[in-house]
Amino acid sequence: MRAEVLKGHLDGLLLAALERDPQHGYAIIEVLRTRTQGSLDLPTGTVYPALHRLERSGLIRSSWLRDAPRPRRVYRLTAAGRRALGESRAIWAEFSTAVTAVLGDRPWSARS
Amino acid sequence: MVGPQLSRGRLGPAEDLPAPVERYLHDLSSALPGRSTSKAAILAEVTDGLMESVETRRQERVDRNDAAEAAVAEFGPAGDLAIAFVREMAGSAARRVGLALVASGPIVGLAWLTAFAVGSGRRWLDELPTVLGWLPGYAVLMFLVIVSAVVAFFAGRGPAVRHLPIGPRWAAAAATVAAVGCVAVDAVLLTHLVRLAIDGLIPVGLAALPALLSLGRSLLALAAARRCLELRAALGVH
Repeated sequence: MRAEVLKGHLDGLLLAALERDPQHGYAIIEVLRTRTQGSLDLPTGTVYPALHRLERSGLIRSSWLRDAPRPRRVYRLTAAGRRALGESRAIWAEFSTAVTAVLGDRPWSARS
Repeated sequence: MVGPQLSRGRLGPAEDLPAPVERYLHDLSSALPGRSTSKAAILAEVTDGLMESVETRRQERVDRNDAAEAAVAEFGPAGDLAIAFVREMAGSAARRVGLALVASGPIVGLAWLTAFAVGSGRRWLDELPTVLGWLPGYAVLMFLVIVSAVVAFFAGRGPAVRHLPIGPRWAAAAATVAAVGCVAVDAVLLTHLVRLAIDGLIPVGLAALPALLSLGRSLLALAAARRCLELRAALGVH
């Protein structure tokens, strides 16, 4: 799936990847790859600044793990992040329903 | 190279990094301005991400160097990554500058008013109109500093970021205006203090504390303004 298709939904995807457990940056990318069976392959370089942006907005917070093989920054959702994730889901549901109503409606000749 | 140097710091022990990863981190480090702890943290985080990617590929029996090349390609150009990080650094720097100025303002102001009040034998609150009346536009300058600092604080980082139509670049600009304005405010106060001391209207010892506070704050504000300008310059038109 092309990155530009995801424009506007990246924040929601990252928040969803953090919903169950705290994760580090690369693990978040792997979660998204696994859950979408590889069809969602985000450019890795875009994910880290996006995580910093979400933290700057107070939707996630980070801490450093020192007992890992390398210093590792781990992100977790905040209460505001959980609310924003709920909003993202509602917006996505509305958006996908609307788009499916148009794009999913195949011409009569294609159905036959 | 950057990786081992970085990891010898407080963020962790040294690690042998593959050459492509070293080169990538070097390019990223060169593109990130300054020597701040936030820069070190970014490099540590990217190092971890790159090495995690390398190790994932190594489990699929990919050669270490090829795995590193693939990991670097997966991250995209170091320059693009740096720009995206600088935007976040600018927001955070603006927030810190805004907070420092908003928090230090009342402390420095009270120190000045108290010194003048003790010098004149009046209540410190009665000194406020006198201080504000020294220069036409002084109150306007103070108002500009306060508004800019508040904008930098809220637009730089925090929950308000999601609702304000001001990005990190403009938050950093507001922080620069606030910091430079703060230096001007302190310069006016210090100039007036020298005049009063020369005229013998205030004991030098009495004004030493507020003068030191203002001097210290001015130096910090100048450094902060320089940092914000540096981050804005690194962002360019992005």
